[in-house]
Amino acid sequence: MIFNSLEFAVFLPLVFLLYWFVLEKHRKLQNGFLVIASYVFYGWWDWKFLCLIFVSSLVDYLLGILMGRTHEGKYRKILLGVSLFVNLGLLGLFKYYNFFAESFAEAVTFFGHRPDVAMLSWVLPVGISFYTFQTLSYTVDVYRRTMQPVRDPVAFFAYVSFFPQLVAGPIERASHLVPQFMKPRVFNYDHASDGMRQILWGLFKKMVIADNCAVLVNQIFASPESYPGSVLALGAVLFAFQIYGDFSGYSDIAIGTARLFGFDIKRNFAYPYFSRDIAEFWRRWHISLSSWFKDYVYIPLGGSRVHPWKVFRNVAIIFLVSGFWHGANWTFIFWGALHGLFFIPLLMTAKNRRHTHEIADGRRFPTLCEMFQMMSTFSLVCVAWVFFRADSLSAACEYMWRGVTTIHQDWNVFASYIAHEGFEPLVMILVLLVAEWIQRNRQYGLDLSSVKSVWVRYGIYYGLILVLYIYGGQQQDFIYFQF
Amino acid sequence: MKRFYLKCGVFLLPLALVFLPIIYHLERFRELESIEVMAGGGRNAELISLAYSDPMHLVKQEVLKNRQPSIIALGTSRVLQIQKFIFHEPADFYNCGRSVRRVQDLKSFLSSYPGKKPTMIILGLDQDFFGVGDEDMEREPRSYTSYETTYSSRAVKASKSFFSLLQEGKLELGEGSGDASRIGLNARLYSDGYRSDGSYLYGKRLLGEKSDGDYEFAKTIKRIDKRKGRFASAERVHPKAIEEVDSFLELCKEHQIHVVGFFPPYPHKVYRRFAEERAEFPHVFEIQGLLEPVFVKHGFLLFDFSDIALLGSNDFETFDGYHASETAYLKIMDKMVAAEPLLENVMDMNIMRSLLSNPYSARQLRAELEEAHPKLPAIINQQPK
Repeated sequence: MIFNSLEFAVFLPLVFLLYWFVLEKHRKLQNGFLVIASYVFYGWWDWKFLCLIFVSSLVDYLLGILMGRTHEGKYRKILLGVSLFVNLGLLGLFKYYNFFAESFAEAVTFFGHRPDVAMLSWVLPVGISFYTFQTLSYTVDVYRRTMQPVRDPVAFFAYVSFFPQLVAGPIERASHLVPQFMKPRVFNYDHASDGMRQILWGLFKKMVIADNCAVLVNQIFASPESYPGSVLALGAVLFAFQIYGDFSGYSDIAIGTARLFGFDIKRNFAYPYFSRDIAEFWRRWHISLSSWFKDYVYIPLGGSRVHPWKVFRNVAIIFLVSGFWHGANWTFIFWGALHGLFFIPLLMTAKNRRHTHEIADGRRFPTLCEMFQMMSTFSLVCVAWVFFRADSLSAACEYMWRGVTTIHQDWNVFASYIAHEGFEPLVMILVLLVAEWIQRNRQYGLDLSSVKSVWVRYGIYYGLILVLYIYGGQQQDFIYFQF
Repeated sequence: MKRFYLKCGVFLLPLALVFLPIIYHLERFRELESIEVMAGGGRNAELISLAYSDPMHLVKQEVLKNRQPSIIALGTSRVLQIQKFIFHEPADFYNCGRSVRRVQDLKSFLSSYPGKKPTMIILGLDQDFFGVGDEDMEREPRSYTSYETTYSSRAVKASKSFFSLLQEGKLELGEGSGDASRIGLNARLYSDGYRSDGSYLYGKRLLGEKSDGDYEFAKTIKRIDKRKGRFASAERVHPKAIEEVDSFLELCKEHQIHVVGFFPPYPHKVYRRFAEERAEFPHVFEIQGLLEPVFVKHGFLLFDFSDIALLGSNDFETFDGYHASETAYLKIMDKMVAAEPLLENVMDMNIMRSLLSNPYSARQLRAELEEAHPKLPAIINQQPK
């Protein structure tokens, strides 16, 4: 079930009531109940995929126990290898088999023969990229001895299947989330209220920003030849906000929901479109994934403590793999490669950690220089998003070519498009940007914990609900469900 | 925790007080039924007419997918009076009236047709399709891609419509809940709505529930005077509109679909008003001459019934300034079948002849009964079977 659905609106209060009202003082029962609730949540899409998450959880639980019982490095390595094989094998089979099979067939066809390659017609299980990475982080941490194996199977299963972040992250580290399942949870009013606020903000980003932008983005990307370059540029910008609203909105709802149950999940987005360069963008966008790749791929490859050329190689690998993680299509790989191309010059000039302090710190408005930096970074990101969104590399190239060569034409078409189609989404995007700018030092845009007046707070909440009601767009799938 | 529950309750209370009664009202009249249920037909959906939303084009797409009829009527609301009982195989006919709004929707409709295509289309072409400007011809055709509507999205949409009607002072809450076998407030309280064959029953007017909003076509004449909407004047018959029909007919031929086309009737009074300024309405008076060759080229026939008097009908055989009654449409079918043998093969001429031998539109009946009786007789107030 999706977060902005009637089913979830019924599911969440029910689970919440049973969890706190009936099971409050029973940690193990609460964990067990969360496993059941999470399996119901996941099975709502397709109960057949429950066996995959069960197998993944069981394999890693047992492997963790076995790793904890042995000190022999070789044996531990084999156990880790099994975990990698099972998890990445499942991911590879469901997500990447057809891509490799087709790419192989095309490569051989280039030499004059068309091989008969069997293709799979399996549906990609929702969230497989997320929960496999989550369980892998556990087995690697146990292998590295940065955490002890989890003996409690229910707690472990609850960690893997925890429904708020099961299907689209944030990808939580075992060392951060598992201990929370191991200790009693006490209901905290402030945390719960904060959770509700974050859920409301996430719904605003998803239903008002993302879903409304999606309608226009789908139109523009479906037939770019019908629009001048100015509208295509607008299409790229709208997609930037669609994917941001969609993904960060989902993360906000996930974090807020987890807080309702007494869990703390790490932030996944830190206002990435206020970034002053690409390096800062990657410290603010999909933080859980980039930090996962940093800890489990980049650092084992040597990180930045090797020869400079190897550092560039490691960075290139990270960006390519990150692109590939998103999907089995050359467009995602190219998207990752583009970001790598944008990032490497900063690395080469040692400017990748220039902007670690908050933008316009202590000031209300950014400087002109900061504005320029934000706009340039955003422009680069939008260019890359075109490749991310397009159906194929050739479609993306055609989009870009047409965008650039006709940018000066038909400004009246652009003005008409804004007036008739794009006005409301753009106004809402402006509202989002203003709100997030004002709140840029806080965890999320609707963090009103410092606002003392209950009238102001309630006024904002009701206002937001009214906006959701009036401007909530036609329901669209969460983009990151396809990953 | 109690404080949290209390605060949540206090916060949600105003929202519940506003929305729960609206949801109850919508549920009472089955305004939130899914497309699948509405398209399912049978006892559960004898008559459908929602007051707060209009998903009928999606419902009709779903019906086409389920039933795969071999004969369809296609056009705007002006073909909705063709009913199934005039055909040999009533279950094999479906009325897709109101599925198209502009001439460019025709090809889009056929291209998106779900499943097996029909073998015959009875095509109603509104005259105003051809008197449009360049801007209208540039507009995107309607999308017939069906999409899943969730309960919550239907509830939100219907509730917005509820508030809109409330604001306009047009809200009807209705007494009682009407006939439970029907879907939608209009169907349950006023017997207004789409029958299971896709045709439309003007229950409100037939039962005298709705006053005649277009008495003596005053409103329609006024719209012609002001050149408003579908009664706008035109400099010419738009050539692109003719091309659209041509390519639609080409597509029909490709799919071996036989087409019988006609221009639906206006009341004679309205037609005479157009005729006073003939030159400004070429799409009413010249269109037959321009479009007939296109039909003939593809081996099809096109009939012009723009003046209801050509059918031997009078102005009582209409609902308003551009919708003719069931009686008029029986006469239309009768005229067409005389010239089109393929139609005769599929129509039940016995039923046709028996109905035509006693033609009596409800409007005429009501007018004559009103003269004879001070109040409407009980027979008019009976629920139609």
